[in-house]
Amino acid sequence: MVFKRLVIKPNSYHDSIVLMRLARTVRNIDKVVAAQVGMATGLNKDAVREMGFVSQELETATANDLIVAVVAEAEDAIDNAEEVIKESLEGSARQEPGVKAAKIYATLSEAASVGGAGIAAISVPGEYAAREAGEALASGLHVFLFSDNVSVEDEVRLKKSGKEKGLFVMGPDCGTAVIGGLGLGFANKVRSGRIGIVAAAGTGLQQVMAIIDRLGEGISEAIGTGGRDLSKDVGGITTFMGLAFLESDPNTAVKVLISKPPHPSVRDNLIRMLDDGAKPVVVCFMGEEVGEARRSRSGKVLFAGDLEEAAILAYQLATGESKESLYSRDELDEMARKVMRRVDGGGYFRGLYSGGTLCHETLTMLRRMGIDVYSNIAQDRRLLIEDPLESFANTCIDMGEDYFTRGKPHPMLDPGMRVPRYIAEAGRKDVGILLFDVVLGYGCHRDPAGVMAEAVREAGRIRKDMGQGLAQIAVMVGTAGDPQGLEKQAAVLSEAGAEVLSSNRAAADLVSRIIKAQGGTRQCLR
Amino acid sequence: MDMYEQPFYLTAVSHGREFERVLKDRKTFKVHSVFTHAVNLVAGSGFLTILPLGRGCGKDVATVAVSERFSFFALDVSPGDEAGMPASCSLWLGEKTVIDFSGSKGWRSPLEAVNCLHTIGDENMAVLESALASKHNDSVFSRGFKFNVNSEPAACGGVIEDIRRTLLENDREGLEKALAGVIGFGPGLTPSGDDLVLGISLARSVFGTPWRSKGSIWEACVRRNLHKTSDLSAFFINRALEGCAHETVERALVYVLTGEPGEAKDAVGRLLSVGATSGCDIGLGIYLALNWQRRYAWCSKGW
Repeated sequence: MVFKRLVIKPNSYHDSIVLMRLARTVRNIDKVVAAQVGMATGLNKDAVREMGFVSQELETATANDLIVAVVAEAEDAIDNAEEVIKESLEGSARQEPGVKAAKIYATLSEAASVGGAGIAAISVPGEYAAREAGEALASGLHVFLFSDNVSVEDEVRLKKSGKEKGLFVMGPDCGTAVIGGLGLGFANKVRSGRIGIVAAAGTGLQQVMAIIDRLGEGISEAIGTGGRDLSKDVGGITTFMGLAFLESDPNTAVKVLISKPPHPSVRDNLIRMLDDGAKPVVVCFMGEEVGEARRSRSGKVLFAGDLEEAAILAYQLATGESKESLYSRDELDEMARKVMRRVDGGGYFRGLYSGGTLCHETLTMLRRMGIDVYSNIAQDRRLLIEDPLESFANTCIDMGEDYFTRGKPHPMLDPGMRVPRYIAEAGRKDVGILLFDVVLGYGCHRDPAGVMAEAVREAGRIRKDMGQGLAQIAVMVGTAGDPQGLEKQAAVLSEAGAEVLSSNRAAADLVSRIIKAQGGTRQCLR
Repeated sequence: MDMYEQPFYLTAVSHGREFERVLKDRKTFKVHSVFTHAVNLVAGSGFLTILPLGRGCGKDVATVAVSERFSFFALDVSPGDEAGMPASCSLWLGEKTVIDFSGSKGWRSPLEAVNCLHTIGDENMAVLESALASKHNDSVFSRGFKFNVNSEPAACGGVIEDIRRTLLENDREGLEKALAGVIGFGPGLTPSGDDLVLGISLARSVFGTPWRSKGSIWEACVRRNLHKTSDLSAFFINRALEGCAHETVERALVYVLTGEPGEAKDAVGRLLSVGATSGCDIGLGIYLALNWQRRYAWCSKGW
């Protein structure tokens, strides 16, 4: 005889690894023949039907509901399975001894009803994110939407709704924000100061904040917008709201805007708005050529060519002190000489980034210096690598891109996921320079440099066996206040044999100096 | 904010051939033992080991990308936990840790590169000897042992001399008796005696002809004594008889046999720093086997 049990939990979200683990545990129960655990999507419901389940409840279940189906040869096996399911899904809030338990709410509206909160940080699979964001807005909360895979239509709808209510929708795919001193997503511990930032790019924002902090200034607010905010469809709703907020914020003296180049129609309105403001503003449209005219019509808007320049201009405006760059020409020359001694035979450059913005910046910087670099995120189609697992000539890969992170942690959470590729690149005879980023801060891995240091050491061993040198360069994005410890992290990488820089622009500059010294600039296009 | 809430997600960087089999067959293992820098898995008499990247690979080893400071105890994996692969390329350790093998590269033994070896160079033997002599107090076997590469290995009056003599006399019973006092001798997961035998066995495997090894008294006597030690240590010795060991051991042997003296020195230095005495005992085993090969060509005489 066969016994069956179907459990449907409406609006129940669990980490996919938790669900995989639960499915495995249930399948391992004695006399359980089959078990299916997942969201009640069409495909999962088909799978449950194939197990022989027919019910109205199943038919009406939506993709927001968790579905657990168990088939067993004995009734007690079903009971055991149900017990396990209950314990796994509801017992996850079990507190450790001595640790004050966090209150777990079943739904966002339940949490919002308690009161006292101002922002809802949402990180659920994209297909459910819009609904939760809608609920947050309905409850009067600003939204920090970490989730990606939210449709443009939903984004526009949410942002318009938020604007009507005077609420921010930061995201979707918003990696970083610092609001009222509270870091959201991947955020650095930055000192409080007079520079307010609106940014469409998570790691770009982190790089600018980290440099400002290093220079001794601080941040008033850092508002994330999500990567599509300045597109024609979205029209820059959050960006405009953010800049308007900073304009009226008494703690903000200088505004900074970081984004990919906006749609021309949005760009014009944006610059007009900034020109009309009273506070100076630094704008960095990543990848856009700045040219000679580095100021807007009113002179209030300064255009920066890269993230480091944006940070330094903002610092100058906020403090009145002059600063040209984080690293002087002499320092970079010295570093290049030092690294060149290790490269001996020359070789191609390979960059492996966890942050897409930094990868993009490196491509832009090297292109400006006349060096073609292939990439999985290249905008020049001739330089676009179709198979991100392959490298060709000089190559820079964004390993935080969807291709690499589907079903896996982002490299900022698990820097180890870059290590196999790093080791493989080190083993290639035609490679002479390896570059990678290490991003510190809350939300990131607790010892990213430690993990990459092992890769640096292993790469060094491999090259020693090959009888060849290798330049290993790290960009470290972080502040002295970050939980990982900036100096300690940099020292770990340095000891392993990497040259560590705090600015991605400087790292790209260093790479270009090495390539040029080797006599190679423009690589042949395929 | 703590990103280390369960489950752990680790990335495998390299894996040996036995792991390839596991990946293919999705065989289920149990966690055998957990150490700060290693997790051992067991299925029947077969073992697999998971190590941090910087600690080298091997036929039965997979390396994972973690920092030097990382402790496997943090994984909350316990002996007896199940280790299996419900999905391709993902190895679960217990219920809280998953190791992703999708980017992992197959590991090749450095011994594969050793071919047609006829001579064992004086210079590299002297490197090995000098390194061992400087650490002779670290191993119970090398204490009192007089290293001299250019002369008959001096009798240390102990078990090493018994092994040498019984081998020279082709005395199966005597060798077995001598090995009975070595295998399983000493503390630890891999007792000192086992490490010595492992070193001898691995070095011998480079010169031995596999199809004749079954009839050789060394292999036969070692195998007959393996029940006297732990399953894990017996497994490592068995692998050494087949010509496999951990990368650090293989590299030391390869560089002593074929490398430049500088390379040999580095590799031997790394070997001798393994464990409390393991590296020194294995190194001594390698030294003895190579010395006897130079002197008596014992590996090719059916001993």
